[in-house]
Amino acid sequence: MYAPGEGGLSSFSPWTAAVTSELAVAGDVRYLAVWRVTPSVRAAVDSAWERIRRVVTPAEPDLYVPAFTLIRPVVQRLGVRLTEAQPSLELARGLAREVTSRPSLVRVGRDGSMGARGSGPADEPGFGTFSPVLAGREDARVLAHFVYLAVESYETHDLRSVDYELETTGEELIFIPAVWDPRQIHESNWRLLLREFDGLVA
Amino acid sequence: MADGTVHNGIELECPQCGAPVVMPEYADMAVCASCGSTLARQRRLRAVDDAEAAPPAAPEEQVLRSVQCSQCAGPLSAREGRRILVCRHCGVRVVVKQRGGVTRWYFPSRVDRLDAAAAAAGWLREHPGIAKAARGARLVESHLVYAPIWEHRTLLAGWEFGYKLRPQTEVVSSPVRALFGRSGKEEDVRLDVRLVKEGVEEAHLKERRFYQPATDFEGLGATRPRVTGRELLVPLLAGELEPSATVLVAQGSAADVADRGRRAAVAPLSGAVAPDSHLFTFRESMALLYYPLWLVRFQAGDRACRVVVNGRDGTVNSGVAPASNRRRVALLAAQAVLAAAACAVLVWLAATRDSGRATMVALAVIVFVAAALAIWRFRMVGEVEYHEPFSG
Repeated sequence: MYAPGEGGLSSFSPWTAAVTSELAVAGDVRYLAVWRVTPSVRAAVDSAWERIRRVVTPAEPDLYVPAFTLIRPVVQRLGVRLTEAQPSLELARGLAREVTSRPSLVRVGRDGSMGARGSGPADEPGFGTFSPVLAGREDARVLAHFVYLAVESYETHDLRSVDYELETTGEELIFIPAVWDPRQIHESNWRLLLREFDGLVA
Repeated sequence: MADGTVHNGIELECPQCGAPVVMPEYADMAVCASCGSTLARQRRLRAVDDAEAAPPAAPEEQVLRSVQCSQCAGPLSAREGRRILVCRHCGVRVVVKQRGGVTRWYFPSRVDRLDAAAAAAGWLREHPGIAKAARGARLVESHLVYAPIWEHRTLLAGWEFGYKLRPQTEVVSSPVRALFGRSGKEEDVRLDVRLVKEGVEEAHLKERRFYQPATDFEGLGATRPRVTGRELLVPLLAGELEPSATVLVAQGSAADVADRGRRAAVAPLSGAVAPDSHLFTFRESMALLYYPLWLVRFQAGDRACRVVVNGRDGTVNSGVAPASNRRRVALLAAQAVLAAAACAVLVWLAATRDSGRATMVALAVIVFVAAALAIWRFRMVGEVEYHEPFSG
């Protein structure tokens, strides 16, 4: 993949996360572009970030910034879910040319109905196996603040102010496996095929 | 219009075939009509024969260079607004840097000279208050001008926290009613309105646009047309505009406009009291949008009329024409007569009735003062001026 930089275009290799879900998969597996941002955060002791940090100690938590869309609710919801889950990703360098398809059950309709393949909802994403990358590396550094604040807002009731300092120290582009599933309303209709999200399946 | 505000093209030489290529000041690139090469503007130091006589700051001259692939030197087909070019020969990707960080676009003109003149003449015929002599004024000239407007676009991401104060209405029962239930009287119930604090947690991830005139629209006799950001825009390239059209030079600096646009973008949006806002801009871009305006001039005797017609939709943007004061004077006279009649009736009532005399006299005084003020404020106007609503 290429990204414009100061000295022209530079190439970089993204990561692809393997499917770690232990549940059956319904529908086509898509890979959603997400930036995994390594931040350096100074936050209050009782903040949501510090709670996440305590959970993943001794590792440092990362911020996950969806890069395949710039629609606010999607960036917010998926960013919060992934950041809170801090998934253990099994990563492989580059984009998988041949994606091993897992057994497909039936396609889930928009209203939750299940039908034959090919009768999917009309508003499902209009991309193929791999999503486009709409947010670049520079964008991810800014959106990391957005996701961080979204996490704080999600966890704290009636939040009136947030005192924090955030600096990003690294970004990696990861393609995370998912299927389009309108029942997953809290994940903007995406079911992430990671074991950390298995418990959320209806 | 001052000559200094108009773009003048300069004639340069194609480095590929030597043919002359006219390069307007507004354009970054041109295509040689002779050999078809895509050419870009380049500034280089002018060669001076006597090296010792060369001044410390050697003068610059403009030349054209062929847009070529950096790897195989194959020609690249570059277009304004395209950031990444792919060489058709070797497949290498080339990033195009914007000149001064600004891209240039124009709104295609959909109105021709005759339509513009007809729209202007229609305005003169129908707009109220215009002198009768100017209704059938003679067309003198119509000229198409592309007026630049700065556009700063950015994506805004962030959150706002805080609180809002909002009124809350509450039904409050008196202690008597509370004790005896429904047996109390209706008067025992009252509505209390009080201000309550309401938490604000607003997420923002949206595009923000900021527009600023890049030319003196007032000097053109126009107002800045309304731009929504959703209009069709075409890259401004050399040779694509009508040869007779004038492209005005942009005034102001992109950095200043970007600074203003950025400040406008991060202004708190939620309306919270003393908000704790964490708003960030990213993916900023600056552009110059050239808007087509037809400047139409009419002559009515020794009086001139100016009408500016929007070149995109054919509506009248602004207009100035000699005014007719006859109707206004008639209206004022009618108002004065009515006021006098009202005063007379009130005075008569005050004189003939025993009760309410003071009220009648006070009303008569009020009517008289209002009429006197209207007459005092009346001025004969020389011109009718019109500006399109919602522009500015």
